[in-house]
Amino acid sequence: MQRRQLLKGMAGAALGSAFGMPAFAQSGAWPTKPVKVVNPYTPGGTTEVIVRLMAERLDKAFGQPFVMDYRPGAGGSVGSGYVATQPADGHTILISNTGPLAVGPSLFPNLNYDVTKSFSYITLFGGAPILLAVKADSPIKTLADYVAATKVAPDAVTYGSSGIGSVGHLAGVLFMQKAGVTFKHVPYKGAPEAQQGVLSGEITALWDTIGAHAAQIRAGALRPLAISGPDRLSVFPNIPTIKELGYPDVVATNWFLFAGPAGLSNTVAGKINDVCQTAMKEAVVQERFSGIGLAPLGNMSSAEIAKFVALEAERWAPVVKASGAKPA
Amino acid sequence: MGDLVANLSLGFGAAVTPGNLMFCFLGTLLGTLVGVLPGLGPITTIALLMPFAFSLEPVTALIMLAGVFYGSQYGGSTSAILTNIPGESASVITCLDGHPMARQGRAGAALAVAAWGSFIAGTVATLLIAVAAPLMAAVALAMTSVEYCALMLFGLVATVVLASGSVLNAICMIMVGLLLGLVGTDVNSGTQRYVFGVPLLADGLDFVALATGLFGITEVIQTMIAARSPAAERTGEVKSVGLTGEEWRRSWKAILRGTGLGSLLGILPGSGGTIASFASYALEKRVSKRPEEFGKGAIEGVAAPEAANNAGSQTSFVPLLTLGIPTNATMAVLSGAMIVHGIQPGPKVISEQPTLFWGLICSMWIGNFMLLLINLPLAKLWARGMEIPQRILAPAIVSICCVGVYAVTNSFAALAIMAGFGVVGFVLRRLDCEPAPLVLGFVLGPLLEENFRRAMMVAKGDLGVFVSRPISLALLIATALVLLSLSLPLVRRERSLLKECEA
Amino acid sequence: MRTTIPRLSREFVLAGLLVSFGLAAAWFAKDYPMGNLRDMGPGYLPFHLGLLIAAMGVLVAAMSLNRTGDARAQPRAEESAAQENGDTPLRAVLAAPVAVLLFGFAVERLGLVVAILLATGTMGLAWPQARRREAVTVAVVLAVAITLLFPVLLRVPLPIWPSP
Repeated sequence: MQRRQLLKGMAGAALGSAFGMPAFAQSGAWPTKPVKVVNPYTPGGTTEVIVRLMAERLDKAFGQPFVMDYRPGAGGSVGSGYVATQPADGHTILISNTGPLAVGPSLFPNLNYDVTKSFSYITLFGGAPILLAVKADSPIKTLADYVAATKVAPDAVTYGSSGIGSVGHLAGVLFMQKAGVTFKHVPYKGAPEAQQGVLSGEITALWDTIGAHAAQIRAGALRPLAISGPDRLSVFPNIPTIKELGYPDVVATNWFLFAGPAGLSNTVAGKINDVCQTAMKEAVVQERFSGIGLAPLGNMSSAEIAKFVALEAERWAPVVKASGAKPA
Repeated sequence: MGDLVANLSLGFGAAVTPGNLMFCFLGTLLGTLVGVLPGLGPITTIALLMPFAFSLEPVTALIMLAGVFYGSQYGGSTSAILTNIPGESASVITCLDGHPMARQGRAGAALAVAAWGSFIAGTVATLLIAVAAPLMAAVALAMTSVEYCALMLFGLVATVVLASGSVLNAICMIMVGLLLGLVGTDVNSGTQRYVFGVPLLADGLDFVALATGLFGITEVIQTMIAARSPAAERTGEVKSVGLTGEEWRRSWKAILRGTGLGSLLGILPGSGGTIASFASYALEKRVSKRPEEFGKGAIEGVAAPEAANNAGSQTSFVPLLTLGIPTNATMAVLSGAMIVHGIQPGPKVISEQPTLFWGLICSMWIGNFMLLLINLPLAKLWARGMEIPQRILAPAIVSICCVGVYAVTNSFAALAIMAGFGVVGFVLRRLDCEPAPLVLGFVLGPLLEENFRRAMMVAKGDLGVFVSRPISLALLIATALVLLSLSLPLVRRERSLLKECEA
Repeated sequence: MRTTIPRLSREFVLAGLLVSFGLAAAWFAKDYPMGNLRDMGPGYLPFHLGLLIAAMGVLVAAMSLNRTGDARAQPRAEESAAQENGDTPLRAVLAAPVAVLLFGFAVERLGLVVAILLATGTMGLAWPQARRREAVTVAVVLAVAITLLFPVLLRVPLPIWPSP
């Protein structure tokens, strides 16, 4: 009996995620089939943790599985662009962040989405700083060492990020500009890949959202030099901010949100947001979020998030332009 | 040693509870079923079982999901042997000799050797993980893009060995495969390449559609042509349903060699398992006294890659559990399952969650044992299925392929790709070109590009890095040796051909 | 429809295919950002790989010319009986791909049952020495069995009947 149900649920869900019957689509009920959550990064990043925690609760609340679909590429703009072109029936949603939504628009000349027009925003989860870290046995011990190393041999100092146009990439560029140093960017597909790059010695340092690297910092494999947030994190009180180390302009936060394609019904967005907001009040979720350096930015409505995203995009535009960062 | 016993007993203690055994069984059975049907893969299945897995204890959930993974790998071999349709890249190799065996009425033996090979490989790999997990993790960590490039190059060149036709043609097929692998969105810049306005192509050519076309549909075409001579209609005579003593003697060394290669390559992110199955086949063909039988139903040609693939699937858990690096898409989904349970995959799993780690490792062995129990009786049943006349089997295969591919992609384009590659596969075979090197090139294409670009970026365009780093240098020397050894028998064959003609 | 491909011209056909495939790939790739070896753009590898494939095609042709025609013209022992005859019935080659395409055209509008009937029917009727009654029976049985397996038992949401 159990097996039959398992099988039924499994296959039904599997194929249901691919397409739905027209009869269902017209009825207005939601969700009528599994909901695809597009993750524009590789598995193992901060987005993964957020979606996994939320999906568990969304599954229970709506009786349909919320299935992750990884579509990495170009710092997250490939997956984000994909969602912009999907039907706004609530069965495809996106987890995205500062990279594709605020950096991408000024970096990539021909994105297939417009952050002010292509998405209906659902939930803002919070923001996390960018981590600058080296391998534990690196001779570089502080941010000052790092700056000194780039001055000695700028060509030999490299840094990895979750991809071109990711916040880590731009935070690195921003730092170069403000500190008057140069080092070379090496893009990876996602956070775990970049982490392996620094652990294998392929690259000197890592500029990437802290979440995916928290475990390696605690395990002592990565040596954190600084974070890009406005303040220190309560879970890592010993990691200084770049700001306090004498670079007041180098502040970058990677915020994370759920969005759907433009035209998503307010009812559906509201239902998802309600579940997420309730979840974020749970002690377990709060603990997991703070464990990956994610701090709340407040419960904003869809329109407020849209305004926030637009402001952030405006704020990043001159940084991207001035930095001279190029898409390829 | 004491550690080993203590760890394993902790693990078996955790895995051998009635509940865990039941979910292990369910997982492997479900995995076998989805593996046999084209289209549905372990990733989709695991992703969809996740909500259900939330309600289980973490260790139970992981045991079940891991069971789906290797169960589906076994199921994939079954369909490769019976219908020549590889469900995933690692079972492409199983088609080469497994399906000819089935055609000769030896499907039972092929399926049995696959089951035994997997079981033995699973056993050895489990022990290996128990002894050397940290060491294996260190190997995985030492690899940079440079080493990955060299490894992939080696894997690709090794594929040339398995081709029974011309070496030159095989090299051409690899290149064509590499290029086909580049279709889709460039990961670095987001540029769409060779997409021509087809949305499906933005994600790249679909592997299932391509492989089902090149192998399954092409096979149906060949069958149909062969069926025109009345003698060929009688395919189904089942000669054996189990392994003979002779077959055992031929297989066991192949199984062990495959296990070794698979265990080693499985720990590498990307396509370690796939490279392992290709390389182990090539190795068997090199060491065999009967290389001419390969591709026509040599049992070693099923035993070695099956063992390699399974050993690789076992060891691919190591980087996830020790470093937090998912080595393939299935591991990625499993890592998600761990995150949900509040376990961050990474260096602390072994020390902080010993029961979970060792329970999972031991359950893999149990899972392999269950696969043996499930599949040895099933093998006999499947083998009987080969008695169905081709004129009935062929339409069934075509429609199940259609339903499977369409159900997963929901796209006419995917069906067109499958049909197109069916014809391409037929034409290539007529031109003495084999599809297996093309498929490996296709699978490795994007990985090779990503790593080569990064290696060159870090090395500032200096190709010398490939010889200045020791592991990479060793792999390149091995590659050169393979190429050298290839040119020798080629000369010999040409000569014997000439002699035959003169005579 | 009978086409006999002797071995020598077989290699020329392959060479021709490789050269056109490679050049086409390079042609399309030349418009993608190229970059250089230090910093490769998305066009760099496809462009060069395309040229390399075309070059390999030329090599294949050159090698075949270089060989004695005698040895090459002999079919190799491992080739199947059908290939030795060297004749290719177009019907047998195209039946399966056409069946797949028919399935694709039909499934969205006419539903799974009709799609399977079309696909299996095409296969059955195109089969050498087709037995019509058997082919129809097989098609019906398969349509029922697959419909029961996928949409009914496994709850795969495929449209079973024609949509209005």
